[in-house]
Amino acid sequence: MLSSLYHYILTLVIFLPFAAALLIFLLPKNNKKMSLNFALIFSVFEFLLSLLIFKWFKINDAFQMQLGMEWIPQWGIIYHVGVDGISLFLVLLTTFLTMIVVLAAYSAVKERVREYLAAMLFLEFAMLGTFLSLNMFLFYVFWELMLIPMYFLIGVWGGERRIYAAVKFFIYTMVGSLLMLVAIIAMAWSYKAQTGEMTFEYAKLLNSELPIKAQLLMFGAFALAFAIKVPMFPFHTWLPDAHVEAPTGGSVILAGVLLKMGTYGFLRFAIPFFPEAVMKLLPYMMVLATIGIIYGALVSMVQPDLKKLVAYSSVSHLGFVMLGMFALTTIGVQGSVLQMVNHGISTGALFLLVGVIYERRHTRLISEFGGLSKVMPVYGTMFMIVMLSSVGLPGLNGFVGEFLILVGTFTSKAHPWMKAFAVISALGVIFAAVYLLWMFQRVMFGPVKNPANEGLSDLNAREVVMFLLILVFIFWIGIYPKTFTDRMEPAVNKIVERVAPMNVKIKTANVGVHEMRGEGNR
Amino acid sequence: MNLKLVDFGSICPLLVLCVTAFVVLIVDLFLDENEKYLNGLISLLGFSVALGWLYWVRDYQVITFGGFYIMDMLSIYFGILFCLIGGVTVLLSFNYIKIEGVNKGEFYVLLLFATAGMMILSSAGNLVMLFLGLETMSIPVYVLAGFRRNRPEGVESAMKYFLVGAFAAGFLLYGIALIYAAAGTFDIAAIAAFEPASIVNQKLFLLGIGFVIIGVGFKVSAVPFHMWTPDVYQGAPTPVTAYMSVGVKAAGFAAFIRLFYVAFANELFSVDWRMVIYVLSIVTMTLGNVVALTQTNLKRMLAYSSIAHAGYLLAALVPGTIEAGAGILFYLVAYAIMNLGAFGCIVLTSWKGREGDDLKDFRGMGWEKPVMGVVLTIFLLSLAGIPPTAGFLGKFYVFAAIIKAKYYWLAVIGILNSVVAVYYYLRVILAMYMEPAEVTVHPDDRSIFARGPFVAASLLASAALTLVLGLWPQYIYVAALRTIGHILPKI
Repeated sequence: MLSSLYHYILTLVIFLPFAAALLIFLLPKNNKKMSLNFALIFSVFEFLLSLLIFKWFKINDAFQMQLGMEWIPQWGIIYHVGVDGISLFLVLLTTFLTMIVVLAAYSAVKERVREYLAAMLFLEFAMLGTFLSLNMFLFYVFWELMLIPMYFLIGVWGGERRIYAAVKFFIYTMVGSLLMLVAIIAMAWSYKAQTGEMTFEYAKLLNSELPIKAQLLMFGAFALAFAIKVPMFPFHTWLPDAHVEAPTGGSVILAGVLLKMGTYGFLRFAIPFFPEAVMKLLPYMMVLATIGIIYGALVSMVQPDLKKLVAYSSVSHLGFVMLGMFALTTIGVQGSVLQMVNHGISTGALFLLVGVIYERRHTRLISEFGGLSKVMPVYGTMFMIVMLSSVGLPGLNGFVGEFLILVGTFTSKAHPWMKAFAVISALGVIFAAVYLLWMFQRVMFGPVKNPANEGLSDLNAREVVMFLLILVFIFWIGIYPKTFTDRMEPAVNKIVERVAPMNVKIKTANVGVHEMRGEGNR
Repeated sequence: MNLKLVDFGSICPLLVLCVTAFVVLIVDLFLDENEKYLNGLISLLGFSVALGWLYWVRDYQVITFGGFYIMDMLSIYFGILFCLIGGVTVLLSFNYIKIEGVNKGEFYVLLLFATAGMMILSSAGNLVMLFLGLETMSIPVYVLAGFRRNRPEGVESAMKYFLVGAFAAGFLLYGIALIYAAAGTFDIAAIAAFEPASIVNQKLFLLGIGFVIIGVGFKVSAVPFHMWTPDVYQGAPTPVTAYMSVGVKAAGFAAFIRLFYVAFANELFSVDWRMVIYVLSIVTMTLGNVVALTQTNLKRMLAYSSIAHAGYLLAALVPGTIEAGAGILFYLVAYAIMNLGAFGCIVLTSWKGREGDDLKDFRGMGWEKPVMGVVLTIFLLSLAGIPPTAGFLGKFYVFAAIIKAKYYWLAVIGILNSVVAVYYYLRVILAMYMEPAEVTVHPDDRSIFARGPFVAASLLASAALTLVLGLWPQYIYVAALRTIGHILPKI
């Protein structure tokens, strides 16, 4: 029984939320509680199922638990899913955050709860499909499918300017992804011209040999789609709008998972598909990543709105992810994947914390608050830990990711300026401490000046459970990242070997540090 | 010419439609006002029988009436599509024409004749026959466009369509004459084999092709021959608009495929007309999409969107490959389903004296009438080309074929155009779900069942088909591939 489940588990995990999204409409329309409980049971079960994937995952560089079924045979379009060390943790992140978001919905969503939950579950379905697809066509279908529920989440349950934000989000993403579709089709045809086989299979398209000019164009198309999603500077302008207008749950998923689609896309597709183009464009990508880090941090500093501050901090954090990825060393890329997960957890938690205070005060302006730690001590503690994890305090998850990224970038031989990029980007860590600590000070410490803040209730049991679940992972990754890095390593190595053979010598995190020292002496 | 029984056998589906039309014409005389629905049922039966017949003989191939009438896979594929479109239009019309106070048997008669004309057009083996088919199709549609003759917009619509249509017919006829002057024949197979004897001969022929493109271009509303489209679409009764936007367009492309894949496929000419179609397609899709952005009336918006879709289809004519042709055939089916559905939703929102086709009328509808909201959302997403819908696969097939033929710029422009299109389709969705309702309609009028079971059934079926075709395109796509493979010259 279990052995036959092995091949179907990914499909089950992908389609279960879809089934739940449909089934939820069978529940009575006005019974909020029932819809919430239903969605919670499903999303917890879903998370447990995804833990089964984690349990069955073997540490090697192959795609595991694969399943392939014919879909449109003339075009080599196959329903093909599989998981490797990179997608594994993003899948876990998705199921985990969806569970948390459903938990948060008990108080965050006031009207049309059933439809909200359905959109959330549908979104989970599309996100999981995107991470697990091993066929380019299937990937594209899921990629586009993600837009629809997110569009509704922002547009229906969002704030004042929700329609503007929803449309901007949709159109922005669409521009990039359609050009990516052109590139995908062009790749398939050129593969057919070389081998006579029409296919959209990821593993097969990896073998196609493309001239450098075609590589550059196609990389451009892929990179545009992913850079908008990440978002990389200067394609980030949709992000603050979408975040500020989206409901709390939408922001959590948007920052936690949807942005990872962009970085995941780079790592899974754009980089391995076009190795020569990557090497050629490497400095530009690094420059953009560095600008993103510094720019995001500086803009965060001056935000009067808590949510906007967190949104811009995402631009900075995602800049780190891009930096580590384009360092093209095993450590750097590992750090980058780990940082994707970290950012999902920490920033997701920050948005939830902002949501908690917004539900109580209906404002997010920093100037409205002050001295909250006296009124809401538990809330203050949670906020502090999450904030410090985002700052990158050693012992918490953010530190590990950023450290690996900076070490990976510093040791990379992919480009002569790598050290400079690492040094400049390290400033971003300091800036992060500045804007986050400053914000924390203004919101939490000092006297309670605003009388509206005096009677605020502290976190209730549900909210405490929600944040404790998040803290588990913040500490786990911070203290024992080996659980995560070990599983990523083979898959990451495979990409590094393919694209930047000069960096292969720099192996795992711990070894890497030694080697770095050794080379310094030589 | 001596006629054999097989000749009549091949035109049986056509005869079925014509006979049904006459039956309706006679039966109508004996029906009371509240029995008029029988007209619709009889025409529905006619369409079904013709469709069944065509499906039954689907691998048939005969050239009859001395090469005038071709019954091959292409004409059968289109014949089935036309019957389907006709049938759905009947379903949409039952209640609509009753409420509008024009519940006349002639409505269905004209619909049947127009469909017969389309079938002639797609089966034409001869340019004269092509012209005949085009006119047989057009004249009933002129009348249908003005069927609400008590309304000024109705009359304007019919008048405009007729005048422009007559003009277009002139162009087409002149083109045919020029081709005859150059090649000395009307027969499509013979034209395909034509080798110009002199440079003058060749130029004459090219000029003929140009005029034919203009003539048919009017019917598929290609820019710059599109001026009539928004006014006519807006003024015509909504089911007729639906019928025009998919039926007439499909018929036009049936003619285009027959002409470009067979008659003018010669390398000597294809270089030139490819260029012309290339430019036409870019202009058509860009203008259609950009102007649609500013529309606040849904019927007008869909009119411009139909121009844009004509642009994508024209783009697929450029490569002239088997994949491109199959893409067009698949796209037309997808387009027919989703566009009939979208117009069907407007049929639902209309009530006596008010079209209900303004964007404002759709506000809050998604929450008030959830089934209809979901159904219209599916159609709009499909029109926008978002997976997993039929519209997405249609675009995928078309643009994949264009990319394969290495027309990269055409593909990129087309793709960017569909981003523009997303904006105005989304606007309807956001009106339905994200803007507060304006109470302009009696709430019951918005239910999917408010216009009787026929409209509801056709809408639900179309929505289901839109998704099914988007997920399992195999059956239709393989048929499309075989059909095009069949008419391409054997190498």
